[in-house]
Amino acid sequence: MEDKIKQNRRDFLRKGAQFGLVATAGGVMLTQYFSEPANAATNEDMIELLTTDGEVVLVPKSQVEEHHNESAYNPREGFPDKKFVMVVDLAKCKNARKCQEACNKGHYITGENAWLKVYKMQENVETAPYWMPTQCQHCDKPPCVKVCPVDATFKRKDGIVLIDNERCIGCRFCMAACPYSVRIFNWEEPEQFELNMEQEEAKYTPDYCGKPSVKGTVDKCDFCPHETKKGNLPFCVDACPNNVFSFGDMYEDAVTNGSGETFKLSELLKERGAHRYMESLGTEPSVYYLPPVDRTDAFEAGLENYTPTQSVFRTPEE
Amino acid sequence: MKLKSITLFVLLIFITYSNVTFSQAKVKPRLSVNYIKDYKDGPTVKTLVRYKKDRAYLPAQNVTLTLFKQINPQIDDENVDEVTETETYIKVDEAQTNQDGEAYFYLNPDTIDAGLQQYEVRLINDQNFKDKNQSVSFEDAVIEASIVENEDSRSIKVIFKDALGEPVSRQYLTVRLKRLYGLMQIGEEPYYKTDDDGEILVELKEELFSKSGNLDFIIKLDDSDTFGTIIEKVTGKFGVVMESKDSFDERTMWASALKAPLIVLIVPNILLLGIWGTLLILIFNLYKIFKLQ
Amino acid sequence: MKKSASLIVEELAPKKFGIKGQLWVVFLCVVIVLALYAYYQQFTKGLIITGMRDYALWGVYISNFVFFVAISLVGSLVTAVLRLSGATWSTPITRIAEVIAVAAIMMGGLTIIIDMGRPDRIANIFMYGRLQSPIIWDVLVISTYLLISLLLLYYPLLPDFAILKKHFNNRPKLSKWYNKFSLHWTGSKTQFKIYNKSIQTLSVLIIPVAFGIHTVTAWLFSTTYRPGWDSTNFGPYFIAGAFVAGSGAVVAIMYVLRRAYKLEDYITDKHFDYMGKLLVLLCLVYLYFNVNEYLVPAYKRTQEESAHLSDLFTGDYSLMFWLAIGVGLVLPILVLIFKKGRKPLPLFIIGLIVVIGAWWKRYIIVTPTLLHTFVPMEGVPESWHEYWPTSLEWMVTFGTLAGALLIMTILFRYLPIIPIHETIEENEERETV
Repeated sequence: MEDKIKQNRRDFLRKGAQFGLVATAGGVMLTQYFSEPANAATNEDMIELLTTDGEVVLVPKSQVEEHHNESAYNPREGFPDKKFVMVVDLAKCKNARKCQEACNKGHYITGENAWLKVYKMQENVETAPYWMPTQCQHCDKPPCVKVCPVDATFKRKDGIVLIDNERCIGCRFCMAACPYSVRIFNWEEPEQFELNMEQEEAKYTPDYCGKPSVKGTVDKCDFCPHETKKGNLPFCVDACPNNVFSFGDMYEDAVTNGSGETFKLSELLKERGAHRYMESLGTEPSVYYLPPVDRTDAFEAGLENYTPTQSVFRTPEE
Repeated sequence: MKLKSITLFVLLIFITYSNVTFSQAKVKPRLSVNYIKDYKDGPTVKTLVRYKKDRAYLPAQNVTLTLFKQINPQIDDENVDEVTETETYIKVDEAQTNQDGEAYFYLNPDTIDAGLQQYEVRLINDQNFKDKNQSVSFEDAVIEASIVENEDSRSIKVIFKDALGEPVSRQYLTVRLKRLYGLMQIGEEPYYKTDDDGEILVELKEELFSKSGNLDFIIKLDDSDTFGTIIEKVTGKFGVVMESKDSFDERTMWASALKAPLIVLIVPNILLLGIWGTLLILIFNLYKIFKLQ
Repeated sequence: MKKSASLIVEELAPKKFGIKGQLWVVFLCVVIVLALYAYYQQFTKGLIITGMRDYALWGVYISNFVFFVAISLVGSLVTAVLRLSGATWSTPITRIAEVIAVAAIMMGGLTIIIDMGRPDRIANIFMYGRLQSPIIWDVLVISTYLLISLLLLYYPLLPDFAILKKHFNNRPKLSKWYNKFSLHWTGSKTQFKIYNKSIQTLSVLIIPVAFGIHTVTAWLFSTTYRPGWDSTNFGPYFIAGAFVAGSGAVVAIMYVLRRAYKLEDYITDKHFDYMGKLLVLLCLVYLYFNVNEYLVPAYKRTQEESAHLSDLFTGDYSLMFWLAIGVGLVLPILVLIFKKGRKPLPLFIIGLIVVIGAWWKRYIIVTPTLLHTFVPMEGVPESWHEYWPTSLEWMVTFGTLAGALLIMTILFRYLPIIPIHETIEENEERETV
């Protein structure tokens, strides 16, 4: 009697499974058949797109705007059809150091490795002192790239000079060649308190310098291509409370500062009498400086934050 | 029996007491609600929820908000004197605030009528926050923008119309060009005022650059009391293409290994070939000497 | 003095180490072991164990590298230049010069690897090398020069090994090795024809390569903008200095070997006299280049050069600078002009002084420049404004020096220090004359 019950149960399960299989298969086939697009009859080219809700829809190709940035991006070539330019207004810098704080935080920099430094400059005792934020100038004729033996540092089509920390052999020739002294070296295993690469599920890319920093290799300012990818300004530009930095695309003839104000680049450079740092060396930097004239605030205000013997402006415990 | 009922009673008191005291005191939230109509998302009610903690405002994340629309009851023509404006609200949508405390309600344009629209955002029954309502009212309007070709220049023509198609004057609009990181002022003025025909004409005298040739002009009515914020876009295809100024495809001393100047590639290799070739012959000579024993 | 061939062979054949020799080898090995420990620290912890930081980014390791490359040039000078110009007096010291050259260039190559931040990625140089980079040029010339020096060392050894094979027939194992390395040399006419032509070719070839190696090393510095390095003079300046340093090394080692192996009949006072005269000439040439290198920028005093020169002439590095030039260069000239100064013992001391002075001169070339940046030195710890080598750096430095000496010692143990075959030949020529 029990065996019979078991057998009946087995039969039922088997039949049920078979029926279920047939039903699913049939159902799937039916849905495929019925989901033919309504305008498949027309000759228009259709593209499959994924909506934000996870649905797949078919859209006529003519209505789709192709964004080449996302698909064709090569970290060694850069953003197509762009040339990045930065303008630093020395008339506005008060050594607030928010730029350095943001850069350090965003790139997980600690210890003595700050890439952006604000120097107290004074050409000679008769001329006025001023504050000058200095980071990599992303030169168009970069002396550092010329001397690298292994193509670890490279100049992209969009003007940005980057470092491939997985290829660098640590010879430091680029550091000797740079007249602006903007490159730093990881003399030991770098302490990067907030960075956990596994947590970030991030694969190393030269696009994001400092994520992670590698022992025995060189680091420097990267003009934040990782922020541009998100549509944001570089960390320093965004963080400055005095709108000292402006950043933009030279081919658009426009630069935007931290408050979102956008200016016509060519006009800004001409009217404010811009210059580049150490122009006579022939490096052709991508950073323009606006002279420290017509300043409304005294230079002394910045002396509060002047820390000539300290690199990273915030302590790791913060 | 009496003992049992006493323990039950005590238990009940205890439960309510603990519920009241051990649950966190609810915080008072601050809601700010704005109406924005832009060309991408259409009519949107944007809500920002924040709360005060230690003298700073922090965003309230993952809070459920409900949007209600005020519906006026049908006015009975016969009983005009007895119109009672009872405020009836119908639920429109629900949304959750994101990391930054923002929640967006995307409205169906068909549900927006002419005349004053009143909406209310309600925060109800949140475990962390006290209940709060905030209303927003606006009248629907439309910005129509187009590019006008003149003899030797171009202009942007903007007409501001309300929901009934009537032009609205004395509205202050910004007309700016979209650039990579922000909006650039074009033309002389930061703001343009619509004239009696609700029109603005912005003349574009200078060259405007764009590598793709496309120029996106953004026309914005910013936070008007009546109409909220309206953002419209018009694209012109007359962007001047600036010549590329990079050396990436040239042979330079700072290019990658294979793109070195030809002399730098050829001369060292010739020298190496010559010298190492000779050295290999000399090594072979050693072998010859060995063979000559 | 007339000697029979067999006597010459007897006197010049390699001998076993006495107690002094063995102690010497043990001492060198101890120094090398300490260096290996120090390098292990560096390999695991990173270059932080050195005194180098972001401003003084090249230090003692690079000074060592330049020093070794400089010393190795003597191989081409003595072996090739003197040989080609028919100066037969140099025959006894050609092998000494070649051995020094080979040992120095090997340690030079090793030293540059020690300086790398990521020595584990050395393959990248060969996989991704850029011909636009002076470092790649340096890698290419160094490997070329090493090969040429090895060949120039090996070729004249062929007849000597054949002679030694016969000489050591009472020690079959040793004899077998000499036989192997002599490539079964029989001294036939055809063999000699190839032999002479090859050595001639090598001697000619090594000269441009030697010029190349030290010019390229100089370009590692002069292709940058730095004050003190931004000089058009650097190539010839370095080569002149290299010849001085190398000659000093030959003179010093020649004296030691002469004493240790009792080779007074072969390395005579006359040899010291000639080497002394050569050294004076080379020092004068180098002094001339130094005058050009320092006096001209001192006249102009541009902003960048000014601070650097002040540091050298009167500042932090002034003692080192004046000692290196005064004692390391001027003093040898003054002593060696006189015949008494060119006697073996004084010349030996002068040779040592020249070599030590040469090392300090290269330290002065590398480090002070880097501490004079174009931008203010701000936003860094105060210790970064200076550079002092750490004890671990010194251990590695001495380790590489010991390594060079060890290579030389081992080679001098098994190779005849003075070319036997050529000595016999020249002896016979003298007898027939």
